[in-house]
Amino acid sequence: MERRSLESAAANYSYLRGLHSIPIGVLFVLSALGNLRWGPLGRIWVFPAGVALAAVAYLSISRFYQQNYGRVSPSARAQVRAGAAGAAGAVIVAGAVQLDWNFDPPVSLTTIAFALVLLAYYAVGMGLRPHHKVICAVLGVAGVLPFWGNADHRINLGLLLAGVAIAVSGIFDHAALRREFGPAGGLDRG
Amino acid sequence: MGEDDDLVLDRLIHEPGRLAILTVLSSVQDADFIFLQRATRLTKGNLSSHLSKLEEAGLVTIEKRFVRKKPNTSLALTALGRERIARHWEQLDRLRNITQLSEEFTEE
Repeated sequence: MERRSLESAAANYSYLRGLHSIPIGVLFVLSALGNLRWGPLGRIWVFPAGVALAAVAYLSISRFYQQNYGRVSPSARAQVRAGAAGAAGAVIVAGAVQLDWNFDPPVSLTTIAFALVLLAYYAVGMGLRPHHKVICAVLGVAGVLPFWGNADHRINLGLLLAGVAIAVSGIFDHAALRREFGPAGGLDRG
Repeated sequence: MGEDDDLVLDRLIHEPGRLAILTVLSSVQDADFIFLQRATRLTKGNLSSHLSKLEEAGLVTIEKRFVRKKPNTSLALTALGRERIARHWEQLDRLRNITQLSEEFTEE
């Protein structure tokens, strides 16, 4: 009887519902391309429409998980920890954006901050899986390469890369969920 | 109660299926039937039967309700259930420690 794996099942389930990360990642990408006035995505209505579509997708994904993998309320301690980690992550990223904007460094602090926050988010929540380490390392290394141009590019390309990293990580998380809890259709429903 | 009595395992909890259910529930506020089935890998019938026994013993609460017009069963540990599962794992840890000590003693 693996006590630790049973006790961590709820935490793993909460973090491995990776399909949620796809609309979130797409929103990051949309936001970055909108800020950079990239083609039609620079129009003012595109981002709100994207938010609405992402919200619908997020809710549909939640329903899919609930129907196929069930619902669980984490312990109060786990909820507080996730909330604190989220708030700390937001502060770190906002700080990095400000530094990128005001000090014009040769590297993208926004990208580096996203890499570190993602790494910490997964490490605190359920422990790092190999794909988290690879994705965050790639994001972090991209952040320290000196090819970013002006502050606008440093921040928004960082946002774009973070969006891609979040979505890709989500796909791998969902694959890990399937390995750990079984495929969506594979439940004995009696 | 002597130390030997302390080490008697709780038979109701020690059954692997029920131990798995209580261990999963001990780490959450509540969970539904489907999640528990996924986490423990028990069949629907097995899980139902174990849950009935645990409810009879006052270790879990079972709440049946409708979520979006579909039946949903919510499960949580009672205070007694939380205490009993924590004590059971303590007992298992103590037994493991005793076994390791006696193995080390035999090797010497």
